[in-house]
Amino acid sequence: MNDQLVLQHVQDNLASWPLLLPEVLVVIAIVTILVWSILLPRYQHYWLFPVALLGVSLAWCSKYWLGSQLKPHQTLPLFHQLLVLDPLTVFFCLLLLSIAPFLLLLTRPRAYLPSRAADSPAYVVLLLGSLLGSCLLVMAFHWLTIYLGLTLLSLTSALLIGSHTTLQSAEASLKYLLYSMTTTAMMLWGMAYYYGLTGTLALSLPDVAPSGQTIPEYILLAMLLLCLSHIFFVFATAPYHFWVPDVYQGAPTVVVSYLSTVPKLATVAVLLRLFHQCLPQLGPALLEHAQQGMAVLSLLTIIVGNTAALLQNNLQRLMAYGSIAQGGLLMAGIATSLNSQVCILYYSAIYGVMGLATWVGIKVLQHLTNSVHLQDCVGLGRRLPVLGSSITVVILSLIGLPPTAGFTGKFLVFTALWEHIQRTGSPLFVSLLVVGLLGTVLSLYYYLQLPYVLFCKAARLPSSTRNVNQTEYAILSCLAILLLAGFFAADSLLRVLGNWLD
Amino acid sequence: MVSMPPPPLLILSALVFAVGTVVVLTKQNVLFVLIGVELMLSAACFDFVLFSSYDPKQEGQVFVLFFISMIVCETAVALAIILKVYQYHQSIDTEQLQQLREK
Repeated sequence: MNDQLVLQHVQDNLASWPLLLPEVLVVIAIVTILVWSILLPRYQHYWLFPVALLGVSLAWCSKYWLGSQLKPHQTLPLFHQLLVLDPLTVFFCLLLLSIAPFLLLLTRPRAYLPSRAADSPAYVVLLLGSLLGSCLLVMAFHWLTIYLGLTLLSLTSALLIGSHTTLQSAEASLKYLLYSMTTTAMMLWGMAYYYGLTGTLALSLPDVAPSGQTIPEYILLAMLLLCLSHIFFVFATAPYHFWVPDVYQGAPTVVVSYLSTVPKLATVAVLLRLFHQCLPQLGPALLEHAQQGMAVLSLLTIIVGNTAALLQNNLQRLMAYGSIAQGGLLMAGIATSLNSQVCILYYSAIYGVMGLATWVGIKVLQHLTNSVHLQDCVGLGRRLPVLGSSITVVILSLIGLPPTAGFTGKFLVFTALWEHIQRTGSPLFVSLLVVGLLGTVLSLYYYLQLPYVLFCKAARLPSSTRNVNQTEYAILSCLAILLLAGFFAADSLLRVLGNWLD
Repeated sequence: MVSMPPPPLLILSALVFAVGTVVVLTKQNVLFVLIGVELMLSAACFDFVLFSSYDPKQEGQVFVLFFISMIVCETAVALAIILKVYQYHQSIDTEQLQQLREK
């Protein structure tokens, strides 16, 4: 009997491996790069980025293939429900894996200096490792895998943040790691109590449905808040947002474009999974209160992000607070997404593109002006019209004005909020809607500063002689075109997404 | 539903967690902050072991094994970064690490 059970478990585990193929491919890419850079360190700049790009694109293709094999609403458990594969997972993993090539292209050193080439294998390995952590986090269906994914992600992020040889970079990385470890401790403390109260660490609770009656609800909610503290930290929600401006200012810009997209989208997937698959098992009352808690947090996040951004002069800090505010709206979408996931998925995809485009834009401006202050970008848009108009498109999308995808995304989230208000009549969500709209008005002021400075003022100084980096320029224009396409092709994109999920 | 471990042990771990939190919030030396975090983590570890002794599947103990090895990695990385900061700054006092802040 016991032997049979063991055999069955082994067979189950073996059957799960093929479904993990994309992640295994990323691991193979990491190991190849590590071993190769030790054995053949001399010519690494020729093969390093091709190998990494190949690994990521193979992972993308295999994930797409796995996704196309799935039936709608089908959920495949892997390794005894430690991980799951379902349409939500496939969507987010594909999104993360399509952001990764941009990050690799951005880090690719232009001049093959010996000092930089020596650094880059570690850098690429860390980037891929962090990507792996995010993909596992998206698939996680057990607190153990959530914890492992989050730790892999934040540990490699801390090292990436510290990868520049400056004091600012080191300080940012120290701050990130200390905040991260503290919130990890809080999360683990919460998980211990979750385990104690429900008797399992799995997100599916087969035998604890009636326990909601014996455990007071406020204890369950407090425990959940603790469990989610590290997720909120990565996502930069209001009480855990203090690291964002400092780290975004101190870290290398490519790393910031990574931090503001990949880990955040992975945590969106975890939160969606909790709200759609875990919390409903604990009873409708708890679910409603959790939604309200989420609404309060998103209210706080929107207020903090928008008001702090008003006072900034440093471009990096401004965009950091702006991204906090954007995240607040994304959280509002998660809280109201129980009826349809499509709009929140669309908004998260747009959020990823916008986050990437913002920081590529800042990188280009930084490269041109050697500064991060608004007043140093004066008149650049007149000199380089393509750059200026791409940045303007991105800014319009961040504010949420047509004709950009940001408008469609914000419109969908506000519609979902409005429908939720119609259904429940909750005053909390009414105030969330009002604050969200007010925040958009405020963001009009602080975001429009940049296009204004770029176009409406004549340059004070003679133009500098630095050339634009062609790769960055091309990526920025591509992303801007993507944002325009997301507005004009929104209908068909949403239909495709809807058909695939529901 | 797992039955509850004896309250004194739970209170002990809560105390350790609280001491860790206070250390994190009050100390200025980064090494002491790290020690505070370690205290918080070990309190959580202790709780897992306590709860898992009432669980026939012993999930909590497996979790603790993963957890300890990850903490070792995190501490190693943290010490490496502290060393790097010390190289640039000749100090690991949080009050003096003020390069990045609101101007």
